[in-house]
Amino acid sequence: MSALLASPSSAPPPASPPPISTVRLRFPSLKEDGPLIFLLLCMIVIGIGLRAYHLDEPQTLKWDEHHYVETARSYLAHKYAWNDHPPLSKLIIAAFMHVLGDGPLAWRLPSFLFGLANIGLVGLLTEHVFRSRRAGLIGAAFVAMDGFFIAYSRTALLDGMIVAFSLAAMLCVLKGRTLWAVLLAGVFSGCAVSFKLNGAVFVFAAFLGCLASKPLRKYSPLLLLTAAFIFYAQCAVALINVGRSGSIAAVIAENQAMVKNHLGYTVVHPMSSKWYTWFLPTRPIFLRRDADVDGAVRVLLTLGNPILWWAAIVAVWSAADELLSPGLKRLWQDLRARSSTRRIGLLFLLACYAGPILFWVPALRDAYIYHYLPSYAFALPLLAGLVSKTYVVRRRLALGFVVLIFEVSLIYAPLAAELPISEAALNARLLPNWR
Amino acid sequence: MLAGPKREWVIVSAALALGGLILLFGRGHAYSRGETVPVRITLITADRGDLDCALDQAFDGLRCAFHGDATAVSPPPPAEQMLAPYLTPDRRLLLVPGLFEQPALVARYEQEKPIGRPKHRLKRFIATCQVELIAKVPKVRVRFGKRNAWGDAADAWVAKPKSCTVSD
Repeated sequence: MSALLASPSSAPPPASPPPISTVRLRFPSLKEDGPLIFLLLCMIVIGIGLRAYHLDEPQTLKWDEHHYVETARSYLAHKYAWNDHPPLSKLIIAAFMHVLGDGPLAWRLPSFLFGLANIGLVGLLTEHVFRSRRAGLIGAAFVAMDGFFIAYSRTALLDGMIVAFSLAAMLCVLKGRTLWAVLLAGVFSGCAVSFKLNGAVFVFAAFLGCLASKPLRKYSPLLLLTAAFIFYAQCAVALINVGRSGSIAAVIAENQAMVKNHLGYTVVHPMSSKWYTWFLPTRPIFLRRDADVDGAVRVLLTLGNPILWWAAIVAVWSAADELLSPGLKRLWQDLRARSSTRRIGLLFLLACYAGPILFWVPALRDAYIYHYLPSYAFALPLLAGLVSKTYVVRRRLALGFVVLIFEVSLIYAPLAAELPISEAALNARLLPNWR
Repeated sequence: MLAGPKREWVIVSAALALGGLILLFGRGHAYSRGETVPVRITLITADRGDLDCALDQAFDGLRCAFHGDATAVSPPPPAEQMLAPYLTPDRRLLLVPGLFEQPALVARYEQEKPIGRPKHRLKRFIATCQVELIAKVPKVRVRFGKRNAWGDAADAWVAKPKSCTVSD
């Protein structure tokens, strides 16, 4: 496997690497790669359709939507509401409700739009790391068709939005060469932590990315300052909106209370799960399960395409193997010399995969399968790179794998897009502990 | 139009066709019009004659007591043909004609007549009925009580009762 991932850059680093901007991307030609490209584009279009299908149903709130929509309602009424998480997401939902009215479309449209952004962002990130537009297209198609991402594009929940900001932040750090890239990365990572505090992982990852980059290193403190300012600003706006003080002291007090509340959780929710169970997974969550009179059920399940899920974990291991097998010294040299975009990119994809999982290892409070979503978003580019590389040497094998992903995604699509399905057909798709 | 190795085009075309079949026919069988299915309906005896729907459409003589604009149908349909809105325990909406004309419900009504008693004192019970599915209505106006306001509801099945049993 690692032989497939290994690139020509596993030779000793050249004395003076070419500037990244002069390296030409390999564009998949329609003549050579027509069938693959056509299939990938179909996957993206179908994925968008599955996200949009009856987005405004049900008219009632699903799973934790009530937390966020109720808080957004309070913001619109300029009333204080207790926040389980920083207020940015609720401010965004409130803005949509202000424009479109208090209805299911306004609640879920932000998630839908961020869900679309995730398709493009994974595509761009994959393309950059593997210097291949084919890989980028494969990455985008995988995200487009995966049920986990579709589910989070169809609910007024926060985790899909955190993914979008964390992908954008890492793209800025990896691609950027200027101060503006650092400031943008600060804004995006600051937004990620302003959705949920576990987004802090991406502030840290973006900061490390800046430190490791020669042209960005001197601006690194500005990334932290920008992220801190964004975090402060959204808290202050929420407080001022309800007639309270937006001072730094007030923002600190508000967040201290929130952290204390989280650390004080003693109840273990029946749908919570330990971080080490997410790799199988053992406990996906039904965000919705409604049975109709005619025997059809409509469900929304936090379960991706199982083949993608497990293959992504294989890709993570194989990327780690590629990075570490030449030794840590070589990795450090690459980092310092910035001699291999690919190896640096792999390192940061791996860091962004591991970071959100490590956040939950100390188990300070109960965790859920959806805390794995950001990690999954950074694993899929690794898999896309692997498939693209395989396509060069074993074309039919790679095409067959993409076809398999497409078919299995469609088998599981009703569980993510809330298409009517019979109870028997639903159960046939689920392992006993997934039901 | 699109060039490329022919065999790969065949693979991709077959994959798309198979995907379409999976999506269209791989979701199992749901009951459809004309089939008889069991349903559970949550009720109190005061629901008899107290629940209304408003819809212009009629289904083989079955219709709501009100037009879509909430004006009364004149003359009103007979009780056994008048649709009224009922909910299942998981809050799915059904439009059922003459539910309280079913023998089991007539008996239950006689046991606990609602006249002169506040609704909250009446015991809620479940009617388990075999119903024939007639049609699915995308939008209908309903009110659960003569004094209540009309509200909009979506995706209600019109279902004709064949037989019912009652349990608490």
